[in-house]
Amino acid sequence: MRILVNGQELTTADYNDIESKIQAAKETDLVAWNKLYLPLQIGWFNKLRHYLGLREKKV
Amino acid sequence: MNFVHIAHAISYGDGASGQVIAMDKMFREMGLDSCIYAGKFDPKLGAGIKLFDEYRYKSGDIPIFHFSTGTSFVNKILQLPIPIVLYYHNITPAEHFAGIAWGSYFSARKGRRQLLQLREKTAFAWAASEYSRQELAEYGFRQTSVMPIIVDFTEYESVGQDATIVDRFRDGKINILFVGRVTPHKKQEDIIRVLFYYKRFIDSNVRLVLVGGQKESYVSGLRSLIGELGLENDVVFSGKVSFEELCTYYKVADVFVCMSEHEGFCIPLVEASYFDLPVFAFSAAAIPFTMGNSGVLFERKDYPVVAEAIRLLAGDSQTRQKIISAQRKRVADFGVEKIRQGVEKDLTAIKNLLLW
Repeated sequence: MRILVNGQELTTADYNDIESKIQAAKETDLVAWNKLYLPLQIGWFNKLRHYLGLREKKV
Repeated sequence: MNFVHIAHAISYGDGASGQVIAMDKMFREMGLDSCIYAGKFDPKLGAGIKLFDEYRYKSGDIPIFHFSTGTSFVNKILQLPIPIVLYYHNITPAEHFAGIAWGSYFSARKGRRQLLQLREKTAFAWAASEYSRQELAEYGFRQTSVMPIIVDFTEYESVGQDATIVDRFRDGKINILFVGRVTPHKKQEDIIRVLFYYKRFIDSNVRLVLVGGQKESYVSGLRSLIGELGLENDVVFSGKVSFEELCTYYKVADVFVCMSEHEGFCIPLVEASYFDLPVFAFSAAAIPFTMGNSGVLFERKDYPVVAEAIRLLAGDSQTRQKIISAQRKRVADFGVEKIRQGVEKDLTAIKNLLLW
């Protein structure tokens, strides 16, 4: 994805830095990593939506 | 010629209400006659605001209706004997509230329908951002222009700081801040996820401060997520705060993170920039228009990327300074003087359209 800093795209070196750190993090603790994507459960409507396996709208 | 600002409700600490008061003040300073009427208002803000039920149209009046949510009050506006000027703050898409806050869901849907009704009544429309102006154009409004939210920086210069907040939060921890009502479309849950990654994989010496009034059904969901992630001691909900407390939170913070998916303008981005906090924001709705070529904007939501970008960019003093400098320049675009210049041009068009 694009990251803009003061309207300018991040340098390739910076993208690579971020990507390598993320890869290392994932390898360090996959259990914690997966927790990042726990669904937010609020209200009966969302609980039902989650129960039925309907995902929230992706942005 | 008398500008009559009309709002459904004017309350303390609300961005749309603040704009009504700021516009009225600016118009008076420009030597124009201006007054405020509201369906209801906070007595704390009472001086100079009158109840709309007392309003009687006079020749030369130019009604400016400030619109931000669906309400039966709109029917009263539609019954006014002349066309109006609309000030559009934007309406959050209803789907953000489905299943969480049904009252807000139905108000938002009603608001979108009413926007179409107001189109026929409107001679000229101002929008708080270019994003909202484009939306008005899509809805078929013909004469549109942008008047950004007016931020009176003199108020920020003179405010003191809250010693309790300083003592509590200047403790060596990194303070990630977000300011805004705790409500579904602001997506505080996504900032909590960024915090989780940052704490687990980058630096455990960090906390998140969420400043703003709360929508209980959404907060209960956030609290359960916080529990599941083991962040009970790392997330602070301030609730509604005074102006002095708000400014103090900005002063003790290290970075401002915004993952909101809908904003008509987003005053906290400007405030954070004013207080020299590097802003990291998801590039949605009006956010890229408000930030201009400043701050750090993400085109997708990827929590690890956001957290690692905060480490990389805010952690490097040179880069941090570059971001802050660009944000300072951007802040200058929202000062009263700058906005006044744009408004003067629009007023000529409004006079030609409404005073025949």
